[in-house]
Amino acid sequence: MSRVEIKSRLIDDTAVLYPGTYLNQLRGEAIESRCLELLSEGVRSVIINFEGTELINSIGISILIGVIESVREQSGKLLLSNLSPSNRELFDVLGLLSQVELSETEEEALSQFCSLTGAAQC
Amino acid sequence: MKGVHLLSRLSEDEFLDRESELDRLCGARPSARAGRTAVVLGNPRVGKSELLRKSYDRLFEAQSSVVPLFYSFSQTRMEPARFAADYLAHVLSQFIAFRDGNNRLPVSGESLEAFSKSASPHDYAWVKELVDRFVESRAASDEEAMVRIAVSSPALLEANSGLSMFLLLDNAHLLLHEKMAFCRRELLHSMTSPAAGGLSESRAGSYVLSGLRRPFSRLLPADEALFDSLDVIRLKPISENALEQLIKKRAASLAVSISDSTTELMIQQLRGDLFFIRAIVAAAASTGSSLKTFMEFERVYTDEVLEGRIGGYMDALLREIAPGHDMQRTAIEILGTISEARRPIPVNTIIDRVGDQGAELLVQRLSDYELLELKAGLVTATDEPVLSDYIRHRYRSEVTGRRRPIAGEELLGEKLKHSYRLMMSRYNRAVESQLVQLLTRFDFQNVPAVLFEHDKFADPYDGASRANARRMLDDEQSKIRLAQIVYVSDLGFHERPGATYRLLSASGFDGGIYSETNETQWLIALINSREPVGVDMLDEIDSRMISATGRGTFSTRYALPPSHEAAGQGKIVRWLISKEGFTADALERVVDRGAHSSNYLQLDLLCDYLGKLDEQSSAVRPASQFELVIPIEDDSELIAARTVEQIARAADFDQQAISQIKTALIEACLNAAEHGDSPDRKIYQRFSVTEDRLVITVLNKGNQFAPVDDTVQSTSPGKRGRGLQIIRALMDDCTFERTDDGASLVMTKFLKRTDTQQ
Repeated sequence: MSRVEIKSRLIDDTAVLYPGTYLNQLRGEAIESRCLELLSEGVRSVIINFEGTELINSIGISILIGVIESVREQSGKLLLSNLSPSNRELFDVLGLLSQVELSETEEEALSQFCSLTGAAQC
Repeated sequence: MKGVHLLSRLSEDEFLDRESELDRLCGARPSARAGRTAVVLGNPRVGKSELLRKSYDRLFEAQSSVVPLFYSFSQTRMEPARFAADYLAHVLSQFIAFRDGNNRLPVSGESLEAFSKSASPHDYAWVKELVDRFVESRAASDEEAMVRIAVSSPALLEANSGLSMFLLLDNAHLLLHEKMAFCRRELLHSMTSPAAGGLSESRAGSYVLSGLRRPFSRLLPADEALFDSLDVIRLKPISENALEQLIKKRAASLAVSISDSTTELMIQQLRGDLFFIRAIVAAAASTGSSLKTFMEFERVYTDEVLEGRIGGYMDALLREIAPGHDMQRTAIEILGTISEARRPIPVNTIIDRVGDQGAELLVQRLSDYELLELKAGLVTATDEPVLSDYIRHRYRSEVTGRRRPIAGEELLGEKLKHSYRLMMSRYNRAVESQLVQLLTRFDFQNVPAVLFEHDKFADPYDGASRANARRMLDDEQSKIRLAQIVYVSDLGFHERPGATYRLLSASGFDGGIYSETNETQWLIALINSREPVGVDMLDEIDSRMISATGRGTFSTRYALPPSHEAAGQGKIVRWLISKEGFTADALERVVDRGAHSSNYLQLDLLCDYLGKLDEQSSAVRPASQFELVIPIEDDSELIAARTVEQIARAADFDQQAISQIKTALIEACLNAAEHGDSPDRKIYQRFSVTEDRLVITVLNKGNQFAPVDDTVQSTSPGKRGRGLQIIRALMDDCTFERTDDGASLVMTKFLKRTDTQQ
């Protein structure tokens, strides 16, 4: 199976991950392993930016739930940003909105983390 | 049509429900029937002879190139010479009458020579030659030649006149009589041989045969050509509605007053037999009796069966079956014995009992005339009530020698007791037949669960009008998925004080594949009681259900997964339907036992609901259809999503709906890939766009598709549970359907919802 690269960037202690246009099993697993990697490196703030994510399937969502739980177990915090109305509806249908916080934009998510950590550079 | 009455006996008003059969026999192009043979079969006295007679009249009146010739075989003309002379006389007289176009049939008994004289100048020569040949054979006492000339005469008429002969042969079962053996061979030969002198292989004339239905199988030879050109017309009993009108009209014309309930009773008790009905109404008219009460009707009926026209007809019928006093007594003894036995008796036991050498043949003849049932060496009494009453009466008075009452008749008392029960059982039968029809319509539909949960139904639905209730059902979220019912069996009728109930078993399959694990059996009790069903009655019904299934106890409950079932036993669903509902205790027990419960209103609403689903599916006329086949491999579902996006956009769906459809389709494809065991590793999709909806069908040729019971909402859905949850949430309707080699998921999205957009 070809390995899928997940675009990500690290802004100070906060990691931002970009699932791409279709969050399926492959990309879900890639996000999961990247996230576990980041957690092991000490990152505790994760943003998943869904801008450009056109479609999400149920397997992708199942893996995403695993990611949310992993971050929580490590006392980290995860925010989802840039959800399209249809993706938001999908998360709502599956009851995910009560388990995770949303931000309209990546910047808003970042600033939320800043206010939480009180970092000077924010 | 004007309706000439040459042979027919019933007026147009009384000749009911038979237009389609009449059209089949002699409709727009009777000549198209040339060379064909039809057999008209049906219950005794259902109107077979009248259909043939009406056909004759209609064809005579039409004066086309088709000449009707009617002949009714008779026990009094069984000797070959006598039959031949009679047959030829009928053929010639009717042919000549048709040629003349007058509707006066020559009187039988005229000499054959007289017929040749009355033939038209055009036909005279060859008719005379035919008659002369016959007369010569008769003078020479050559019976075989006489039969041959008579039986082949229609072919000769056809060859000389250029017209088609249409032979209507009634009471054809009499051809089986041993004296008629030669006539039978010749007649069947003429029906299966090519036309004399004809260039083609077509046979001369066309034949319609009628008579007692049971002996017919012994009459026709195993001739492929004959069966190839054979039409079988089965006359069904006249509908109750038509009979009701007929009885009322006839009673009115004879100034007999009659009530609705006696009209119904008459139809039930006389089993819709037109001859009996006419006899009763005529008898009431001749004695000036009214038929307004059960007592009045039963009194007229008793007189008619014992000493009236019906009794006389039965006497004549018995004489025909069993000529001679001794044989008749034997017949009565046989019929009476099996009637009193109330169960099947081996034929040999009967023969031993009556000790008559001809008894075996007599039993066969009684069976041919449908006075008893003969199957696999066992005889049972007829369930025809009029015949049973007649037989019982004669058996008691002539064989057992029981004294008749000094005044009145024993039969009258019996009939009066029976009449009320008969009317009640009619009501029960109507509901039962409605239920059986309903069960056979069960076909994996999703229906509101409340229709099967009387405890939840009573409060919101009681007192609501049926129209309101139907609307309320549309808002019900909780659904159950019906099985597909393949057959329904009767498990018996039971009575207890104040209540009657029938047990039925409906067998079929739940979703998925037709396998043992998906087999399901619905055990149904249809209860008609005066009071709501209580705990006692419920337990009684339960124990009867248990013994009906042959299982020790009910450990199974509705909606348990198949793994909980004993191997190979499938799932059992119990459904109690009570006219008056259930007591609170009983209902609690029903719920506790996991059974379904409904009253008659729920049953009616279920009927309406399935009807609505049928209408919806038939109302969808695909305006355009697209098909797509994708391989089962990574990300191929995206191709499906892109395709449906284009289709939905073209169909004017908005962006939100398009996203929902794409997401749902992706889930359907994943489901098919995961659950299907598709040998070709492909997923087939069909997109139907109509004015108001997009219907997507995702098929796979695998063993399994969706979870067996997708109606159960899991509290912690797994990956696929989420997939189905997504589909249900994003689409307006979603059903699983089995196909012969796999399964399909059908999803519907409406273009514009009339109610508020969700």
